[in-house]
Amino acid sequence: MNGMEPAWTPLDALLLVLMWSSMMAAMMVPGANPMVTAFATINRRRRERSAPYVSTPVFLLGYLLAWVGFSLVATGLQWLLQTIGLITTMMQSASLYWSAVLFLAAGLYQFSPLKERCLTCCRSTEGFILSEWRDGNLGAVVMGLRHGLFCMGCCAGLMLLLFAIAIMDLRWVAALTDAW
Amino acid sequence: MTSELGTATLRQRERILVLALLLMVAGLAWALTILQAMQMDAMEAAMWRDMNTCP
Repeated sequence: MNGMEPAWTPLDALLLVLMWSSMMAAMMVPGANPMVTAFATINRRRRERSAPYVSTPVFLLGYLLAWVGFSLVATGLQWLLQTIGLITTMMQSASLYWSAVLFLAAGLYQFSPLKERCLTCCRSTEGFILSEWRDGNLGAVVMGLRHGLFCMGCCAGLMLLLFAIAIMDLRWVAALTDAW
Repeated sequence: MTSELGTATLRQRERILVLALLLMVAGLAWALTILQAMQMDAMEAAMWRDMNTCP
């Protein structure tokens, strides 16, 4: 901290992870609809054939776990940025230069091969299912987790922008959700 | 796997159930996010009030 701000307690950190997790779920879950529907379709077919099948919420659980992992990293990053004074205790950007650098980085990331690859994996439900299918409950969790990771790769640049203006500005969160 | 995806279709009721599940999770998450944003706003307002009333 910079001497003026109180140090975070473990409870503060936990609440911030919860805040990030709920925000990520709010932003990302609607976009997972095509993949969740495809997963449900396949498992319905399996159930009709009396083959082993997995319940759809298990896949969704894996997807949400990926975003909880992201939230842990984001909370750590928030602590670091607050410590060095780039964001305020009210989670707003403290420097115009910092915000400009983030916008530039997010813009450049949009043209990167990593973003392109993640976008392909994230949008092609058939491609993802063909290459990533795993049987069983654990397999479904891993599939959800991996789908979440691909989605994360797609919108990592946009998520960075939450640090550029204000993390808890709902207008900003809604705009980024729409952009995604 | 793609053949299973191609031949199977979700019944209308199941499609609605999947959509309802996603909307419920997203709705709860939005509700929690809005609540936290309101608490942050209240905290910020209290901080400004305290700063302005200090002698």
